[in-house]
Amino acid sequence: MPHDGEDAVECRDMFARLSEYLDGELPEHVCQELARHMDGCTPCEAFLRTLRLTVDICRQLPPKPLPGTVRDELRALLERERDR
Amino acid sequence: VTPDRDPATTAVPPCVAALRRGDGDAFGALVEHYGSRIYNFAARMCRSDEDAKDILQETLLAALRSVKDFRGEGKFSTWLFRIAANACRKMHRRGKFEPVRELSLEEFMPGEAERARLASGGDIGETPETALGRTDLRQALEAAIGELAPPYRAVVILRDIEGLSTEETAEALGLTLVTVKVRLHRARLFLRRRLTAAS
Repeated sequence: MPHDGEDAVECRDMFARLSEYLDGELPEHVCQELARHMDGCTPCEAFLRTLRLTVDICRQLPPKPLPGTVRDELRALLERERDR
Repeated sequence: VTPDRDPATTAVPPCVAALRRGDGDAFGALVEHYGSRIYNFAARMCRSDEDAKDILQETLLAALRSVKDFRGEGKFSTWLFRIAANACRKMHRRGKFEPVRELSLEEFMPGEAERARLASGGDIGETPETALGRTDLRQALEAAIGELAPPYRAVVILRDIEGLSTEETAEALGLTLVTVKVRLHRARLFLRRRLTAAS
């Protein structure tokens, strides 16, 4: 994130690892570093919140129902295949 | 016949054994337990219900023909997703698709204006509960997923919609763990930007 000094480096490093952080795929000491950074950096904390929200909405996208005709055709096809 | 819901399972699930025996109920179970997930994956990958139907058919037939090759080292659903992902790739190669637009991390890093907006509490700008209930955001998200290039789209669908782990996604798509993580992060950043614009 383009602002000056040490904070900018920290923000860039953090930005690259946000998904791993959300997914719990970072070592504990790195998580603590990121949490510390976000405590003092409102934009990064807000960015993480909106990224988490994006993932949450993805996870709740409703599935498209499998049409009944497709289901029936598939069963018939698989049974024909078995009998070949 | 039960689906493979336990992520820790490495044994051959009962439905595979039943399929190998040619058990009539197993075919129905295959369609019931896995049909909808494969269909949804294919519909989002191909952006066409008709193509999704073809991919599903191809996947289940291929699974039936090669079920003896499934060794139970991973989940059966991951094995099916691998077949479906390959079928989607073949379909994309046959079609007239634009070259893949790679996403870079830098293009999503917030500039000063966005940082200021974030600092003042604005962005998607809602409580999670309100945002999760908004149909327009879900529609914007579906559209944005469709805009992603297929290599990014496949990763985000499997990880964030179908709920596969990073390892399972890597296995299904034949990628390294690092590639899955890189593509997932960039895809999420892309989707976040689209949702921000829509809200």
